[in-house]
Amino acid sequence: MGPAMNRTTSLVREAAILFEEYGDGHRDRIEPLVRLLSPTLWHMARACGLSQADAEDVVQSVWMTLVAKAGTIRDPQTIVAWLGTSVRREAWRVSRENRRSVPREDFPEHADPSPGPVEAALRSETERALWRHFTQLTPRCQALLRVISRGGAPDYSALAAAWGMPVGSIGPTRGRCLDTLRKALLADPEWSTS
Amino acid sequence: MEYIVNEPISQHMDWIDEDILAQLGALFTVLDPPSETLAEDTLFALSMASLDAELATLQETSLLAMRADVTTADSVTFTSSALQLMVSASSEGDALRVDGWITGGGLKVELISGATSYTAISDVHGRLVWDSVPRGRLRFLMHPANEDSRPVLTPVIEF
Repeated sequence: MGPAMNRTTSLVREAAILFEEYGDGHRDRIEPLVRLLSPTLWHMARACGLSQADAEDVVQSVWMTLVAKAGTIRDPQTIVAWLGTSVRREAWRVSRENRRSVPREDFPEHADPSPGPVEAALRSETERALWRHFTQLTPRCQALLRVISRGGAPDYSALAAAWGMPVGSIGPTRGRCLDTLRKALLADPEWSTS
Repeated sequence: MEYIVNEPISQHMDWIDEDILAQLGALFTVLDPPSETLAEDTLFALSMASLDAELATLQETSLLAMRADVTTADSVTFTSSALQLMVSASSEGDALRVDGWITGGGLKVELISGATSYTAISDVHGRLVWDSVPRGRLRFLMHPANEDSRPVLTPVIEF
């Protein structure tokens, strides 16, 4: 469930180790792997604009597919990329099906900028300032930053790649999305670093 | 736009960038977390899938008066190639009492709620009872008497 990883741990590296062991016949490694990555996959699915219920279904079905196709993934280092790609592909499929019947449900941070449950949950000036500036970013930037914030510094590139953003689009400098947010935050006296 | 595959982004970032992303990660953990049971439910779904169970079909939904002290309770029938299971639920305080009838005595049937399984064995009349079952999404896993037969899993129903 964890909060974002700190700089000494790497989500991607830990996942690769677990998946390698799983591939070597330690089938019980699926459990720590599911616990480690499910929250990240959830945030990816939500960043695709899925409703909470659909996001949950997508995460579960992606794990089902992984177990069925684990043998075809040769390089354990690519496990996060494989899962991220599967989440996005599955999310598109679900969104397309939903659009046929009911209007697509936007995720709250895009749909409704008015004060509501989100604002009530923000506990400090810093959080409110962060949220205010974050929601000013383009949907694409919001989604990208939400996804890479699930990991620590060693994970940013891999998470961005798993999200389908060419690494070059956020590197070689810190990237347009983060740079925009950073400038806005540094100019806002209500925001402060941890 | 330049595509640099193995460029570690982090080397161009400083502690402020990392701090912003850490704050953002923590914020989403508070604002829009996955359900607490997501990993558990996923692991359970994986273990169900590995059973290679036959999937029972929901035959009919009807309302039946089950007991004198409750007015009505949903009664649902599931069928599979070899077994038939009818279940109904009634309130038992905050929880549920689930009554079942299966085509056969001495059969093991699991009531599955989230990642928890409650086992009951049918009596000679095929009757099953589960007490103190939490309300919510339930499914049943039937084990045929012949151990070589595939178990039978019902779809999820809401009680």
